[in-house]
Amino acid sequence: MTEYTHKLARSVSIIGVGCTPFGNTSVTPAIKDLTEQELFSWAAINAVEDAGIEAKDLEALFHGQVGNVAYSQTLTPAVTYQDWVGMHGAAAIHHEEACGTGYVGFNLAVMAVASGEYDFVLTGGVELMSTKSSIKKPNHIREVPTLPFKVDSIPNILADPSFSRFPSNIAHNAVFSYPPADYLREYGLSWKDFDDVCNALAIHGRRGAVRHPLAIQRKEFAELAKEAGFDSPMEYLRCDQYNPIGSMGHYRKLHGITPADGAAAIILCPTELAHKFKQQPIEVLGVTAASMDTRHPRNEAKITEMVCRQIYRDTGVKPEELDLFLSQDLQIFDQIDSAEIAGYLPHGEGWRAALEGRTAFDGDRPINTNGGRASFGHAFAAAGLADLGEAVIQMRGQAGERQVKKLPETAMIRGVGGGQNATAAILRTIQ
Amino acid sequence: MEQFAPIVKTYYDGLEEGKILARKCNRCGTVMYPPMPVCPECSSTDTHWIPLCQEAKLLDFDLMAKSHVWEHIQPFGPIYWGEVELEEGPSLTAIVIGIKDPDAVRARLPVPVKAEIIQDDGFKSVLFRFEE
Repeated sequence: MTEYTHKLARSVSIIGVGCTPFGNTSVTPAIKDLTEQELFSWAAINAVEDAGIEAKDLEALFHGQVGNVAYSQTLTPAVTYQDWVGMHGAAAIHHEEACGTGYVGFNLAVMAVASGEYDFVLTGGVELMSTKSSIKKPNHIREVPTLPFKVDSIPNILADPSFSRFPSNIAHNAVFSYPPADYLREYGLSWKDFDDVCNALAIHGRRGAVRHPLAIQRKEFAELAKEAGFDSPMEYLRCDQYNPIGSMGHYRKLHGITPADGAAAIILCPTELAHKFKQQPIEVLGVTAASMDTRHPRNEAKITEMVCRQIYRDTGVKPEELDLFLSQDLQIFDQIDSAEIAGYLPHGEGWRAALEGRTAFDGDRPINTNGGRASFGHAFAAAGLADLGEAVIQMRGQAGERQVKKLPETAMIRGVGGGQNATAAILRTIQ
Repeated sequence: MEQFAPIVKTYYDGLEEGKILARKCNRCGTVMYPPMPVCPECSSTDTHWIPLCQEAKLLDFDLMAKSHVWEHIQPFGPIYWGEVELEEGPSLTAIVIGIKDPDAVRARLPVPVKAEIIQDDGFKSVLFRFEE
């Protein structure tokens, strides 16, 4: 593929962020009985209030949702959502990129504003998979999901339906196994070292999440360990009974995602107009994207390298300028792998930084301060926007108990969807 | 391009006839497997069908989680995913079977593997077999 250097045609800034609690709409009190539209509306209203803008001034809506057909049984869903957020008549575009939907939705909105086509754009993502819409009843009457496909074949629908899916899709297994296997071989580590690094990432991620009012997980592993009679959270997480190795290669259960219902939204405008709104604007220096089917060996490392290399080239930012990093971590070790590819952690040293707690919200190299997919939760299309929103909150100094020690001025957010669709964004505080 | 001839059906018809087909670029000689209409190297659409010789090298592998393998494929197991480089050039991640002692195989990488046509669920598909 030919690569070109690009710059945004005009500067874009984030003026508002919003997020709902991540939970289960059948159980979690804060979001109980809410529909997909209500979740999205709530996140959008929060973003509008955060910005101090009026919804009628928003010109375009990007709506991200992975389950709009399988769970919500709706086509062209963005049309419905624009009324729910007060954007009657606005341009409304739906998109889906599996778990990377939110990150890609951010890229799309940035490009829409940077192009000059729109001044005020809302990009939102919502996911509600704990229950399913009934096509013959109003949306508050839900069904237990009887998926059109078995849960354990979801990895198969991430694969190209002509070739890669047969005789059985290797996508998730290759994605789960490649990065740690390569890393361990290169740096002479064992699978036990890998286990402890993932446990450490889980422990520190959980510490950040319980300090985030919207995260799905509310108990630290230190507390869970004590309840189970262990002296330390690391011992608890090493125990096969409480943390078995499951269906994700060498990963254990508590290294994996906590599925959630939830929504998140971000409002962007040209930087030249951003000073008119409530919050300190956060400038988007650049966004990049790359994709590669899982039949290509080591595809996720390759596309992560591409988006990082391209964004540094396009923005002129150097890796050493980053002081906050958020990275989609469906596989928790991805935090380390992607951070090293991005140059946020030195090559071969990330594993040690994790064990030493340096990547915790109160460490000197914070990563996924909201707890990431394991502890903040994974509401597929909303996840990326929740992460971008977390970066903004941290950069404004509004993160409360989980605020990182050194106020970040430059943050990178790396997204990936289906293990095949990567993005990067670099944000900078406008002084 | 005046006419777009089916690629997917032709490939699977080829498997029924015992042939694993790829596309080869007439401009630069790049082989595409699985077959695609546009050369990824030079962007040419001037390509033709070739049968693969079915010889390949296994460069890396790991065990597949059983729950991620279609049930009707599991009897071929234990099922591995492998990084496979075809004799004709393309590399891909594919299903690999026949590994009985993974530690011993790993110590000898790369090792030869052979593409094999198997009966799938109402059609045929391709995996790679390692033999000692």
